[in-house]
Amino acid sequence: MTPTPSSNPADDSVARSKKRIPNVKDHIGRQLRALYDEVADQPVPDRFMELLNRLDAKSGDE
Amino acid sequence: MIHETMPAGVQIKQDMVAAIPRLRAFAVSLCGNPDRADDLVQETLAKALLNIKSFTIGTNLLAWLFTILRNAYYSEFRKRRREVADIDGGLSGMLVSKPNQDDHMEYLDFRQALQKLPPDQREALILIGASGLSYEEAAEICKCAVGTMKSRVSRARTRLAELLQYDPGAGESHSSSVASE
Repeated sequence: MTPTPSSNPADDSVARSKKRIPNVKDHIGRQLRALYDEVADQPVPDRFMELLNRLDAKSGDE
Repeated sequence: MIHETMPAGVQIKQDMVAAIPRLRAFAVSLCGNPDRADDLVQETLAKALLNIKSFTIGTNLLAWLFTILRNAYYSEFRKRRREVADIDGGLSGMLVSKPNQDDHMEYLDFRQALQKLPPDQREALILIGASGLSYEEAAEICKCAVGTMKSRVSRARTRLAELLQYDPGAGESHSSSVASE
């Protein structure tokens, strides 16, 4: 029951307007993790390391 | 005892550094704007260090940090509700992968739809669906009952499916909840 691939590029918009997603929960989960992991996999920006070091030095040994 | 234990403060700081990537991911999913997200993370870290004494060593540091971040987000959210998340422009600098045109379009649509959810549903979905926390942990962070958390996640999925016009097709066991208004 797979939809016939469209030969007419104009049909793409129609195909996009209603997407056949067999497992909505899994599909949403994948998109969500793609968004989340893309940021979570990045190295820690310097500004945060600097902030932690600065505040750490300030609060030093109390 | 030769066994060397790290001072608690050093350990917490290391754990905090280790938590930063997930804090950033949570923040950007929550607010949809990478600059604001990093400001939220910065505020979170500063508040965490300031209030480090209220953290109980041995408990879940990530959950504690997520709690601080969401409080910062909501207090800011209330202050400037008018601001619209700059989704396409803002995120494009931070999110670089563009697998192919169609997938990318869908990805953009998804991010926009996510920002259209009520914030309580959005955060529930992110905490459960992306950050890998348990319902119990997420409920603790959001100060609500586990059952409330479950229903928020479920409503978030339903709403997203509507916004993105996902068609689960016939015969899907959970299609009724997705299809219903």
